[in-house]
Amino acid sequence: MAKVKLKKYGFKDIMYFTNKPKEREALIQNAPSYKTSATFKCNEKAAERHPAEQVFVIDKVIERTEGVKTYRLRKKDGTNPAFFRAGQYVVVRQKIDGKLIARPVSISSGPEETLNGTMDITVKAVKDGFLSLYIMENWKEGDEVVTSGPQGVFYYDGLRDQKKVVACSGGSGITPILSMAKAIASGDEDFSMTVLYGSKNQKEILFADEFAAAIEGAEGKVKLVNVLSEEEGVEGCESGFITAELIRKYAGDEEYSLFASGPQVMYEFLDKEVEKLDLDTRHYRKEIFGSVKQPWTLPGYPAEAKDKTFNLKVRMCAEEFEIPCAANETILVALERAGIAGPNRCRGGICGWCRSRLISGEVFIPEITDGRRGADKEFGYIHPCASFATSDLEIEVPNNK
Amino acid sequence: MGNKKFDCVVIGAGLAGMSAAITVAQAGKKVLLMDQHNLPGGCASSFVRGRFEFDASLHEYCGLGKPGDWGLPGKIMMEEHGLDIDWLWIPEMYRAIGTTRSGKHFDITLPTGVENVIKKMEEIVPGSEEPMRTFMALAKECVDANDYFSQHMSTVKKDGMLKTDDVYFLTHFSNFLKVAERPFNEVMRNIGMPEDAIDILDVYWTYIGADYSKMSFVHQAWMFYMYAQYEPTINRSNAHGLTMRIINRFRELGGELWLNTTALKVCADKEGNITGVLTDAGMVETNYVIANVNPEIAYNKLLDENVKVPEREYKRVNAEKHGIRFFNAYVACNKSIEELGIKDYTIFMPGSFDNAKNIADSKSYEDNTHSVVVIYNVINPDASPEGTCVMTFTICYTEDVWGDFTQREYAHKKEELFRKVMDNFEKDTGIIIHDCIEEIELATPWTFSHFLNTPEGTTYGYMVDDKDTMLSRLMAIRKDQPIKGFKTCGAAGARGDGYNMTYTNGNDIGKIILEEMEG
Repeated sequence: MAKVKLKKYGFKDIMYFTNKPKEREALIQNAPSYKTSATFKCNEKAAERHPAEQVFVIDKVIERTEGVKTYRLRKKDGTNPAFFRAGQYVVVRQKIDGKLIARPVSISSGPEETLNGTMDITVKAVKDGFLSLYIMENWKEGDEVVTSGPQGVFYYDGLRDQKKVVACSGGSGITPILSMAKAIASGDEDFSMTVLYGSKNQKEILFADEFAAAIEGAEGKVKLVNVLSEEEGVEGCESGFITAELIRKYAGDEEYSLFASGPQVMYEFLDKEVEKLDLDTRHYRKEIFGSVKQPWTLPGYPAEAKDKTFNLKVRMCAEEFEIPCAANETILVALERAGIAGPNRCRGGICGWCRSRLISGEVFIPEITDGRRGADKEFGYIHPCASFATSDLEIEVPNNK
Repeated sequence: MGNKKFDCVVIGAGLAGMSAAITVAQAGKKVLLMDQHNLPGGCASSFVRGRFEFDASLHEYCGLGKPGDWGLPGKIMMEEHGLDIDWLWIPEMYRAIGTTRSGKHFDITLPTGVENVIKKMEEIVPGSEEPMRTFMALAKECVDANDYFSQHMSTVKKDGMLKTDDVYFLTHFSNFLKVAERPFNEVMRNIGMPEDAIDILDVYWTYIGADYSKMSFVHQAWMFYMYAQYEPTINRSNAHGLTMRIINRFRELGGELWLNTTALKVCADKEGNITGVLTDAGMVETNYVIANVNPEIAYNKLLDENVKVPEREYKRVNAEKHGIRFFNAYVACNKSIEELGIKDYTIFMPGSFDNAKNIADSKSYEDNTHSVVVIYNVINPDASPEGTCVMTFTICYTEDVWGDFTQREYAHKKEELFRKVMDNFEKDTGIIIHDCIEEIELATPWTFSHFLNTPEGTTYGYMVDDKDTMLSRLMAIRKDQPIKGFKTCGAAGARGDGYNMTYTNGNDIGKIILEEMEG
């Protein structure tokens, strides 16, 4: 006991102490005994913002160019699609032959349109693109489509980015940039943006009309420059590739952030160009890289593994599976083919949603798509969307409810 | 097919759930731990942005102690559970910048070490040395009494409350009995603490959110003493690293972990005996369930109708008030702490040190910019890549302020608030960060509601006040868990919030369920 003289406290204060639990009990006894079914504003708003799943009906199919279609979606239950930050994507979840296939697809509409009940996603048919080819061939007006809520962190942040953005984009990578242009026009985002949009030729330019409308609505805050790689001398267009020189030309004297969204080859080219610019690393931001296609071309890949097919033992809660996994596919693709893929979103190693435990065996994880937490590296966890088997494996995956 | 029969199922792999799971597994029981998310930890988690990993919630661990002299939570984690954790001790309590009710402006840094704190307080507010000595002596007695109490929680009286050894308490902890449940600020005044000193001691409010003119002395005294004596602590590989070490230990003990698995119903037979848990990964057989879930969600949604929930339990959850919730800004700068001139780990910037004013402000968006920041690299050089640093700003709310915003204005409200917070920080400290932010993520009660599923996005369970006190809850720890074979644990449990408290509570509940198993 502390040798403290407490002048103002005496033995009756001990009664005060012993009475406290009785006061609490009285509080409890005086409370109503009904089963609470309270809902809370905060939880409702959060559920609207981050729905686990959105069930849509295709309202309209808009053909853009050869192999590129926009699907205008409305929620089946009549509520608005989740509000999002321009630049985000949704994960399309489609059952094909009884197996659930998921792929991230960019939102090409602006966030404001969700308030009128619609959200557009734009899909490009990719050679060997399992889901994109399926969508192109099968999706029609009136069909039901299931997606995740809005995902991803490729969006403007006024606390981090410069007031001026130079957006470098190629091919269908233009979709998140178009969404940003629309968000600037609707006042949902506050920055100015010059878009350098690379296409092979004029015919391949996507969303010309929609961009024109956004540019008009943005009142001088959005500019668009088409950069054609296979056509020269087109009025108002640049020709060639998006180089450091071109970026400098359109950036002007202002400080700027560089946003990049396009195919993997564009990032590889752009990375070298950006080195020539005096740009702080924090001001160069890229959309998700996606999954590496030819891991054996990267340093550190064990050459003997290429072309092999490995045995993948999978534990999922109380179940166990044995499936094949080819060296040239990610472990997630192998799980998907077997119809047992669990949660996944970005397909580029970054979001961590497919996080799984490697129990035994060897995997190759390309550094560029290794977005694992430090302790996960230490304790042998992998992101199957960005991991390739290089031996027989045993893994434990999350439930695929 | 693996086994679907377990001695015990723990729903929710938050700190309390993980601790309960280890406690039960250590007794040789077959335990299944499940979580609705694809990674365990609950709040004890992290996330990656660019080249940075952010600790989601561990700002400072209180009361861990030191090797050979562990505090109660440290004893459980390190000795009882045998965890292997690389702790880092913070040799400073906090820096606080603001104005007291008397109008004096202070920019003070409290060191650790009981004697150092006393000396420092005398230096800052002359005349506070003697009352500080009294305060620390009383606080020490509270710590001892609390430890003794925690180790003698198994005898229950007829009314379901814990039986305490009154004679022992009277002879060993009579000061504790006199002051423990008295309001903190009242005790401070009665031992002659100068008003400016009271304000400075109340500054920890941003992390507590309770009314210091009502909150029991023991609550703040225990925490203050533990910080002073044992130093605040963080973990080298952040909160997710802590979680992975706990999970690793659980697996060593033969435990099974199912992720992305939601418990849909805790099932019972017609007599109300627990028979299993229906999950979205199938039915699991068990007679004992521990839910790391808010009790109102457990009673209203989780338990099957065959389970007779006593009327008092519905009354209890209806009587409780939801605790505090947070706005967090996770900021990574592409400059080092040396370049930025950062020396302190924790800086409180409440503007005003007036507890009553801060409580009033915490019910609004506009007035509440009272923040605290922790800058990890000051203690942990591994917190981020070389030449960079990571920090977390926190603001506390006592009501559902964020619930009023529309979807459209939400992102703007987040940014607008952080601009104010950053501006205050730069003015108060002279440290300039707005031009070197490389990654930033802002989390609000919406975010916590999304990830934790708690009412109103609260992270601290139920609010403590002058009637619903921590000790009263602890005295009722068994009475508040009347259902045989089913118990809840976590921040809404008997010990309240904080890594230390929830981990300890999980251990308590694990032991209670073990007793039920033994009959």
